[in-house]
Amino acid sequence: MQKQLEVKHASVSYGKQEVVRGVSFDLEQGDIGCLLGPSGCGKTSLLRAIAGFEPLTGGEILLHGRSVSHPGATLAPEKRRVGMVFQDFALYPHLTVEQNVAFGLRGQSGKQRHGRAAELLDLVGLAGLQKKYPHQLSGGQQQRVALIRAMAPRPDILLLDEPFSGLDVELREQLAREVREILKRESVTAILVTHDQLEAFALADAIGVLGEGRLRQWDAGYDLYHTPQDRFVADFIGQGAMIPGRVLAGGHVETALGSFKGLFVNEVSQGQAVELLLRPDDVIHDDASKFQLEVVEKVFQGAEYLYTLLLDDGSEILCLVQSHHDHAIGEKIGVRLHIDHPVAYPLEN
Amino acid sequence: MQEAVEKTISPSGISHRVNAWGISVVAIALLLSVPVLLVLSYLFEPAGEVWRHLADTVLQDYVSNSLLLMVGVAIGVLMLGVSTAWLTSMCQFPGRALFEWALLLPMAIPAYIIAYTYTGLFDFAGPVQTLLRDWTGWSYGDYWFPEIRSLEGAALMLSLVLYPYVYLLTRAAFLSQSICVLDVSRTLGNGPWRTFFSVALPLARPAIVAGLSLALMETLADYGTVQYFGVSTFTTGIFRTWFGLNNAAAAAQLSALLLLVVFALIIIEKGSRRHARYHHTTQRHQTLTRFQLNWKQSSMAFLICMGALFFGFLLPAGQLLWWALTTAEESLDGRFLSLITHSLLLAGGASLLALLLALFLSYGKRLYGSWPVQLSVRVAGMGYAIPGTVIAVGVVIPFAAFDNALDGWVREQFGWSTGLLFSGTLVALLFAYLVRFLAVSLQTVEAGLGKIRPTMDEVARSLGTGSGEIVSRVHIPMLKGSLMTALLLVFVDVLKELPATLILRPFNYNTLAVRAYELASDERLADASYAALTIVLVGILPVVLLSRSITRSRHAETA
Repeated sequence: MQKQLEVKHASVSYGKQEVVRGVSFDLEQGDIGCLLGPSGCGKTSLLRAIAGFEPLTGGEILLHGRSVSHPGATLAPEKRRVGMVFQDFALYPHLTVEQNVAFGLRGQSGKQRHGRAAELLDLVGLAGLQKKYPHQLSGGQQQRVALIRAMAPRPDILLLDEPFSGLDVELREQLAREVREILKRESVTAILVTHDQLEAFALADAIGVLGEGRLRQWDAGYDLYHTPQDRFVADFIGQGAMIPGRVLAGGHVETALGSFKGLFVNEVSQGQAVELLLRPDDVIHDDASKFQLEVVEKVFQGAEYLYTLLLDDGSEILCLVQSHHDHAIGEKIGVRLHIDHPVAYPLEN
Repeated sequence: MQEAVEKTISPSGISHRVNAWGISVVAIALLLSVPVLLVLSYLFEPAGEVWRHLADTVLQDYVSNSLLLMVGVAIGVLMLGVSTAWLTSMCQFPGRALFEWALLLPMAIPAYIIAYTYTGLFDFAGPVQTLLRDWTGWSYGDYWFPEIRSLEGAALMLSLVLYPYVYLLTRAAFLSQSICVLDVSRTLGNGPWRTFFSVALPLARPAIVAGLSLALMETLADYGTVQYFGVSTFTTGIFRTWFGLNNAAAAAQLSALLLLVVFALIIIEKGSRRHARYHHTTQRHQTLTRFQLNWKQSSMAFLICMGALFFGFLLPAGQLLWWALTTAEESLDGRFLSLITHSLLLAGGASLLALLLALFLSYGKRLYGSWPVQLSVRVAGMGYAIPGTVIAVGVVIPFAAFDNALDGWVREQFGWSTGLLFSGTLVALLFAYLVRFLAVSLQTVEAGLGKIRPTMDEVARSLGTGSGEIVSRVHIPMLKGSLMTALLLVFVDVLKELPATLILRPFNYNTLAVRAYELASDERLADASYAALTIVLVGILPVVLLSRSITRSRHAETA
């Protein structure tokens, strides 16, 4: 089966600075992908290259099997059948909601355009707002109009550039779930660009983490969190701590909190010093444990306390405990580790 | 596959367009800056005999009179502008909403028109002094009456029509101040007066200084008022040196000096605007609760605002209307019609040209904003602060030199004379208008274009819309208002412009402004009223625009 989007070793440069370096991934029809990374990681440049606003300096991009970008040739955005939703929504203030939605519908009768707009407005729960102007809508409503305007001409792929960052925090996650439902119902292939991992988890089937222009890992959210392929991804996704360890025979890792059968993302040799990733949910509170650690910091999060615990060697770990276990700073509490996927990285330097 | 390769934009295709458009933008800016650069170059010219003569005799007068005039206008516009701005933005009293926009009306009256209207009202033969004599039985020499045609009078006239600059900017500053900073001051035990002087006024200072600089630039540019009142300033000096002493070089040197003062004002104005950002307290505004004034305070507030409005607009406009009504039969003839046609042609032509240039420049900047293009656009918009007299000097000298050179060359080559091809024609005049007023349409068009965010273009493209269609479906509908505003603003400015028109117009080519000024200079005040009233009425249009934006901002504030 043909892929809807194929990105092959794509590179983008501004002047001498290469901001996207040889990124490859692909999406099936109906998949929702996400490019996740801190600001300046090149995710927006890559999205703009897929849209046709930036030329490639290396590699190739194929949409629905058709080559649309390679160095020296960039098919113009208006000829690509892509839909794009921008951070600022970019709704046209001089047009009504209906006219905005129908902006990209060409070669259709007025009745057809009217019908398509009504159908989409219905889909996002904005039926009846046809004659309103953008400034009369709330932020969330504007966002949905921008979304269906991009969907109206049934593009081959929908590109969403930080579509929720202009909205209130409470709105974001709810909207992200709604948007996912809408895209899935219409079976739209889409790529989201964001720096917010919760948005990415809520919306995407597959997530690519970008750092310094490189694609670090392309995976489902669960795998990014539990088996990050490098330190960058481990640090960027979720909370956690690293504790020192040493590689034993048979792929085990020995640490101050016991030894585990480790997953190694790099070649390691026996006796080598490594770091083991510990997520707060890997550390279980257990009064009976032989490991009694001192509480150095605690943060109340409602249902849970996030404790920072001190190890004898001076490193710290995070531990998530139900909040009726209320311990004072300085007190010692017992913990044991329960790790499904112990990931270890060779010690840097 | 095939299609993809065929329809791509080659990068080299883009770079060619960059060059053609960019170079044109730079060329236009250079052309427009010729007058200013030329005048400035006279700073380095050795001083001629005439210049030494000027320096020995009248230069001191020019300098001291111009300075005194600026001081007088500064005091006047600050008192009128700041007080009315505070009252209408922060206090509640009967008539406040009306004053809020009506206080802008004096902007519609050019200073030279208010000057001769007041002369008609207050000089010896005018209705005020006549009434006084009738009441008291005094006759000439029995009493003292302030002389309106004096330096103080000129400062008063200019203050009455220029205070709206200070009013407008200060008012905006007061409104953008968070009410919280004022409330904090009150809770710390400061009364309303102390709060005004220790918090509100210092916070608004950058805006006040910016408004003041604008008013002072207009003061320096004024020719009609000071000439009519017989006050020797730089602008009248330039005229006299040129046409009286027939010395263009010395006139240009005077112009260059004047330019330096104007540049200093521009720097102050720009500086305070930059500074204003730091004085911005917060983005979140609470709904403004205005100070409720008691009846005594209310009547004071009403009197202050009414005073500014009455003396700045109602009285002079009323007098003009009265004169116009009494002279309707003699004044409304074919000559008046030709005045109107000339003015409409000039103002219409200049505003249209300015709009086209502004569109060309600002699109150039939007599409290919390399630094030479950006700089050029800024240079092209520099002329607004420069007095018309100076621009006229800077236009005549190169045009005349070009004409003479061309004439000489043609005579040598072909044995016939081209005469003066450009100087003394409408081309020179239109060029001067562009130099002076392009800034106005440029600013308006750029502001309008700024509202079309780049993402709006990109959305359109991703929806399959080509460049031409983007212009027709997005840009034109969104820009329409700005384009109309740009046309209107330049139209009115050209209509009011006096000194440059006076110097550069073709022989016997009269406009409303020139005719009004000439008739008034001949003491035919009533006859001048039709032309003057027309200018004032058209001048009200931009005031309406401004006041509409004020009302809109007020709605936004309550929403």
